[in-house]
Amino acid sequence: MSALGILCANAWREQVRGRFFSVTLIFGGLMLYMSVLLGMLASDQEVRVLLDFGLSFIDVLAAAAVTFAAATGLVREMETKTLYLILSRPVPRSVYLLGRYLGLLLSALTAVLAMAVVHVSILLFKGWHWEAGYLLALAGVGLKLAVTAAVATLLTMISTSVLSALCLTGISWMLGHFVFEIRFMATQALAGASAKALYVMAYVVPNLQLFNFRDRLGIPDATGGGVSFLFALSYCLVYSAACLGGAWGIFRRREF
Amino acid sequence: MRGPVEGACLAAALAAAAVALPRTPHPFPPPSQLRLVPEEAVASASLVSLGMHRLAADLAFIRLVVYYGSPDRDAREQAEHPEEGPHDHAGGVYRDIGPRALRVLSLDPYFEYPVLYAAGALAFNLHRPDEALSLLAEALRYEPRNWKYLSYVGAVGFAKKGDPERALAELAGVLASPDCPTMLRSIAAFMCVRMGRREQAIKLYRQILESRDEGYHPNARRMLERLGAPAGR
Repeated sequence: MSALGILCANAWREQVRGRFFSVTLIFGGLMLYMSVLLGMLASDQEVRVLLDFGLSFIDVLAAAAVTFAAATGLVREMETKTLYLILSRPVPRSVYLLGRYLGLLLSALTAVLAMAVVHVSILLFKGWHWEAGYLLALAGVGLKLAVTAAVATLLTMISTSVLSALCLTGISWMLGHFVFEIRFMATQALAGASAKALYVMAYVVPNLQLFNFRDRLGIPDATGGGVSFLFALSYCLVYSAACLGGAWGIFRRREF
Repeated sequence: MRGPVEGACLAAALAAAAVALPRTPHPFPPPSQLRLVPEEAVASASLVSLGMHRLAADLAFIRLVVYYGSPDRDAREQAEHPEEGPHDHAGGVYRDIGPRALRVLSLDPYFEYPVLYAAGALAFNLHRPDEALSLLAEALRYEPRNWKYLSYVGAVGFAKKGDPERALAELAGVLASPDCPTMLRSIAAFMCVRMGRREQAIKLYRQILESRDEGYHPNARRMLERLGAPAGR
């Protein structure tokens, strides 16, 4: 196995043995509890409400877990001296960074899959009929995770502490869902430097709304078929590569 | 950031964003068109800003169902103070039902059920067909070809003219669809009973018994008993 494969597998194993599966268990418990409660409140629309709650929970929990793991991973490897052990061998820093990123992403996707299994089981139990849009929504969550993990890796390199990396990633995740509103604010009521700053922000923050297929479920001609998904995938690849490239640019100059 | 690698990466990210932003589908109304009220504003705006329009609409819909399922405060207050004037409906006035449905619609304009639910309640239960029609007009702005909305418009029109037979005929398609609000089926079944359409009423009450909304089950059972029909098929 190549160095990249070993690093990726190790990162995946480390995460799966740790917090990712605890998150999945918490999610499963929450879902079961909410399915009972919401069933009483939403009456005829129980399935729709469960579908939306579940997909949103999967999205938020996986993003929180991936952000936390990306922001703390490097610091922990420095504290445990694992990083020095790896870098003292003929492993390029770019391979180390990419291996960690891929392992992290893979473990996040494993968690998403586990949560989706619980979610789909509850939905089917409640009389939901399978629809392909669900897979598209999950794929969108996966693409969002890829971008979020890359952004978190870059911000960990830039920031001086774990806490600031966590906060900055969290803010960029929120703003990423807010790009239309940012553009709207820039066109309304604001002028001059503030409007320009908002326009720039709308372009710099990751456009996570592009991957938000779960919010476009059931909208005629708007859920996006192959073309829209391929476009979202292309954006995800370019943006993630740019963030990882930036992280590598900083990491290669860092003295340990 | 400094150095050619970081510069190239930033340029790539910006280029990707510049291409992606205009092509991102955003089928929801702009924030200025959101109908927020103080008690729900923070939760709804937060969910919308996190890209959870559907979830925000779901929560607003649950509030609508709870509102219409609870005793009406306005009616209670009027009953306690009869000198202020009579109330319109024995079960309550529910003057906020239209605005609440419009709130759901502003969060997710493609959420069909709350429109059918609120328009049905307004037109056939609360006898405010004009409010029902304005709600349907708002919903049709987003989905002009929605046949259920169009059927509703016809049915409300006939009900307004005092022609329940034709109103029921207009609603036939909606009543047959699996996602028809149980509340509408209940109203339609009652209209059938009054018009002497026993078989149609029995069919509707049996459909009500199969629905998720258990609030309507006891009445459906009672009506089936009155019509001399067993609950099962």
